[in-house]
Amino acid sequence: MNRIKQYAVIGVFFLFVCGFSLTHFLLPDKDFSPSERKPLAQAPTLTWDNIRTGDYFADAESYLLDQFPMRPQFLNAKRILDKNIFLMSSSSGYANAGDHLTKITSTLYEDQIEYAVKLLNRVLEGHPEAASAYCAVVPDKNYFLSQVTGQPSLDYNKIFEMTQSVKAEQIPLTHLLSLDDFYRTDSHWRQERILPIAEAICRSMGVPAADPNSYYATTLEGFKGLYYELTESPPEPDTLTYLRNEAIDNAIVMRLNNYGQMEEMPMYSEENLYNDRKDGYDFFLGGPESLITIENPNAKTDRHLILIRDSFGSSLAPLLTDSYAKITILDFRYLKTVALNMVDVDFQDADVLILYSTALFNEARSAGLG
Amino acid sequence: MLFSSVSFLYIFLPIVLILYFIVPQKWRNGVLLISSLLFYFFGEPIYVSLLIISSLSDYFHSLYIESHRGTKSAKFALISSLIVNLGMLGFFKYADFFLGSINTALGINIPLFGVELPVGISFFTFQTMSYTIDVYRGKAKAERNLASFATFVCLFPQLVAGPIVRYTDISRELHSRKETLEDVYLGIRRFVIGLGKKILIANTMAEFCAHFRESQASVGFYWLYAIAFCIQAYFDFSGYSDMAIGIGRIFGFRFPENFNYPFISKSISEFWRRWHMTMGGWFRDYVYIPLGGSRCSKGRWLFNTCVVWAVTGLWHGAAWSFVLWGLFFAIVMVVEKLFLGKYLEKLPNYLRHIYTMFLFLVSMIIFNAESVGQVFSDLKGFFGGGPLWSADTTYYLRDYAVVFILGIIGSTPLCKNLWGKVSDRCKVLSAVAEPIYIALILIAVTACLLNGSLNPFMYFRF
Repeated sequence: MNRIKQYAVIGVFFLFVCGFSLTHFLLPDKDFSPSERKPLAQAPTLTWDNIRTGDYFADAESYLLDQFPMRPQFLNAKRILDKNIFLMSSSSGYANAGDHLTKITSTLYEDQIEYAVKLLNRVLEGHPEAASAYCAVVPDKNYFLSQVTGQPSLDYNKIFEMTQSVKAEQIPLTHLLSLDDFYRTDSHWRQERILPIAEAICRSMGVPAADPNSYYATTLEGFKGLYYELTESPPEPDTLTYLRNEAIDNAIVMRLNNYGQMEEMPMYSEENLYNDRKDGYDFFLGGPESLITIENPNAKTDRHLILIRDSFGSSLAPLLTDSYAKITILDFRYLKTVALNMVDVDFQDADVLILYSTALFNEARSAGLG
Repeated sequence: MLFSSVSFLYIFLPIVLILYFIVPQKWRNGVLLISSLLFYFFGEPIYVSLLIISSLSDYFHSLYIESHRGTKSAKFALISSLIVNLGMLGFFKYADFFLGSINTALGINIPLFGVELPVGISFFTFQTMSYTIDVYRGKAKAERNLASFATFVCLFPQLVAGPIVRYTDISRELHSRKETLEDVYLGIRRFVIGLGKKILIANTMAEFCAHFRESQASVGFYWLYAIAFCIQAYFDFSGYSDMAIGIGRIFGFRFPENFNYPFISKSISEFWRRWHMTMGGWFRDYVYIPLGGSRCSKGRWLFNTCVVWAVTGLWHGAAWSFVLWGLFFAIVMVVEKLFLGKYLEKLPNYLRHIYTMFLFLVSMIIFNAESVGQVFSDLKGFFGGGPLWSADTTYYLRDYAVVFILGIIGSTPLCKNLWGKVSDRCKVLSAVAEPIYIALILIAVTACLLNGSLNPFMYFRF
């Protein structure tokens, strides 16, 4: 019996290790992981420089990890281990909090908030020709979730306090939002729930808001948000409801492409919602774009809005189409501020609205703001 | 390269094991030598030269010492060998520390060297120094075969994080060993259990410690942090030692044990006879006893104790907080020996355990502080300088409770003893259960590795 046990243990070990090793080499490499929505590392190039610096071995390890057979199943096994064996409320920081999925973040990076504030002030000071400047800070979903679940959270009071240093008129938004205004499986707010936000912003900026009754809503099923694949027991997918009216339908939307040219694009893209390689929220204004313009010749005013935003701005901007003849949307994660004078953005007499979430302020540098 | 990495588990190890067992016996040291050099090269492509220098230096020095035994030349050769090894260690590990300290003390600005610490340098230099000293003392015969000696120096299972294996521990096995089925089985079992200890328990406790630093502090959280760090340190280091001993066993080597359930100790003196035993033995045989040990005046013994513990602290890291940590144990050991020991023996066992673990908790707070300043602020928090409890403390205690319990139970002989009794009474259950739990540990460990968990070994910085 002892011999059988010895052979069994040795056999299991070698079968496991050699089996996965062999499978790793036999299976073709994948370039993308739909469940993680990230490109997968490819085999590194072997050069003397890479070897000497140690980069080759680090890259090789990343490659082996990313291309490991049954990677999604192993990642799910980790979640099961954390949630069902260790009885943790989260796995790698991703948690089911009631009906919602979220990533728990509680480390405040004051230096990054200061960095963002300085960067924004530099842009504002560099364009005194603008008519006015406003700043609206969007509290992220965890602000509301932590009040319900007691999970650790950022020091939001500190973030709101520090962002007061942005040299723009503050438009408070927190009192207009609640947990229900956010998707369950994603970090973003729901477009159909933020009409009061659009109205408050328009009121502060002195422009007429769109008539709420002018909108008609269309609901799409199967919106699997950012966090959907990162839990071992995902809830039902969200529905995505988007708003249209005459202004939105007739607006001309253009984006800056990789060749430095402006090309037309749709306001909403159903293709992005169901594309495995994109976040479903990229439905709104195409997702990560450096520069977008929305022109509405039938707008209520002939004014120009420059919207400096993060992803929350993607679903808000269409709701301002009625109010501005032109909206220029800038994302300083993809268009560095130093390159601002290379693109055709006219700040003369424009309203400038900064719309950043607390999450972006807290990790501004890490997010690539520059 | 780390043991707990996909490249080691699924590429390096299976290839080496297969190669090792298919080549003729006389080539097996060669396989080990080349694979060990490659193992180190994958992590330190430039510093593999230090391994080669250390091997060549001590090989030639020891041959010279043996051929000139009893003469002054032999002594000079020993000193020369120690200078090479301590010089390497001193430069790469301590030069910037001492320069930085001088800069701070004198308010000057001598530029630092900015050298990176070669992985495992504290281990392999100590290993080779012990060899040369043992040859000088006549305890070991100088190894004539350079390849065999280099195999001893570079042997990858214990190269980068111990146990500190002396030449005399494995000299016979270097030349003639037999790999048996039982050795392979026990080696694999030991290796996989060590892997589980490191990845599943130590790494998870490391997450808890990271949360502590980012969260709302409380006295309760400080205590939990101290306990978590103790568990992390034990499972990380003993897990790695298990892996090293396990792999060595597969190849037919019997490395010395490094941990013997230190958390069941009833005094700090006993604790250090159970924790990192190979390091303790090294300092005892090559520093403490040559200084005179305890066979001298009380004043001299106090001095010897302080020197050994200060050096032990410094060995763990190039920072004054580590020296403070070492001296903390020096004070405790002196107090136990001179005064407290006889009172401790009269106490019930549970009180002695509490006393020992309390002191170890305090020592781990000192050990894990990033500066001397943080030592004092952490101790202040630990001893009540702040709110007693916080919402974050409740949240994280609830989240990590299971791992705390597993860690506390796993650090005692309970599981081993229980499994031993079950195996003896029901061989069928043991034969079925062992392969299953080996597979489950491998699945869980692989899942964690792919998840990109925090992974570097704590003792790697040595």
